[in-house]
Amino acid sequence: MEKTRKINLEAARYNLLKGITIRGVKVQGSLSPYDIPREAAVSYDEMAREYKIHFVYLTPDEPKSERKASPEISLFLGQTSGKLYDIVVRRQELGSLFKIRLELIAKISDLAQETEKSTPPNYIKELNLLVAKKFLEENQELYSVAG
Amino acid sequence: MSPGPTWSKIGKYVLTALLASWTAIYTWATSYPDPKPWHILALLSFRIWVPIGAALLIVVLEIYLEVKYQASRTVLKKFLDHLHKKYFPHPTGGLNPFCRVTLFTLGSIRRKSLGVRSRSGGFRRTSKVRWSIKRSEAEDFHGIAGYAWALGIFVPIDGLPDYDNCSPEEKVRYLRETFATEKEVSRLHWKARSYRGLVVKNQRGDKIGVLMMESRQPDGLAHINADTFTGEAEYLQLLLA
Repeated sequence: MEKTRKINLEAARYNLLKGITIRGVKVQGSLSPYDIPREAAVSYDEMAREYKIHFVYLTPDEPKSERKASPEISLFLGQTSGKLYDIVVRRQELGSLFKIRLELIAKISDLAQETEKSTPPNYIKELNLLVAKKFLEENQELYSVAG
Repeated sequence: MSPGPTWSKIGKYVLTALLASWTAIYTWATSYPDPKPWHILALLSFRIWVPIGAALLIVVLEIYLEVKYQASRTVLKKFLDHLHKKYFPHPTGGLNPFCRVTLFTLGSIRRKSLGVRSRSGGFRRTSKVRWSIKRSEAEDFHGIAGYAWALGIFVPIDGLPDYDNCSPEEKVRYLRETFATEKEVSRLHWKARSYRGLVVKNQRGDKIGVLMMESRQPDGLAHINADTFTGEAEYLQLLLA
């Protein structure tokens, strides 16, 4: 049996500014409405004992590639944009998402830092990961799914 | 990829292939041993009309697809006028002369550069200036449109000098911050002092253009940020679908 909860994301609350300097030009860039999640669907599959957080965007999902952050945590990123679409947390008891939230946030933060250092830069991916991190940090409603 | 149903794409490929290989087909037909069958004779008697017909059909097909599948310029223009009036209201109720809103898209033939698709405000509604996305994607940014395209994020630029009335140092700064050359800026009818660039994506998530807001005041767009477009981005996507 699967339990799901949908949470609307207010773009204005979660969007972030990033100071970018390229060839001496400084701008405060931010994610476009196409790359900021509009909704997060959190579900728990009792049979598989796994949590899934799915981020919904204005554009439909693109092909995704899995990135294992740990044996239990997988991040599914868009192959073209690098946007975060899904977070899957395996081998979890119902109600345990809150307990591992710090690990989850740390993994996303690590990936955002890694992206920041990459060349060529991928600002969409970096800012999108930071938005997801902020959402996981600030949204307590997320952890109450069926918990 | 060009718009339109599969049959139109296959039709275009077949006609283009026919056009490209016509010389080889014709040479083969002339060297066919006598007596030539009726279809070879027909091919030879239409030797001029086959390539002309194929070329005409390609043009007709392109025009048909352009008319049928591209959002009409009128609807786009009305939408840009709506944005203009909403975000830059003018006491007279008309368009604010200090601001303009432009939608740059890839050309149907010139797929590697951005040109004006529709514009609201300013004296000239069209422009011959094109901003290269090929250059911009190689981090040799071409114009703010090319810069916004390459970065893929919402780009705000404020506080630019008045290009026509500033010192040579300030002119250098203007050129550097707008990623344009002196020659390109001299061709611009409108030298804005603040910009907002938003990459527009289609429903598949591919980049298809840049929505640009410009103001002749250095802080004229201070109230515009990425969240301003949260609702409009979806409408624009539908209009361009």
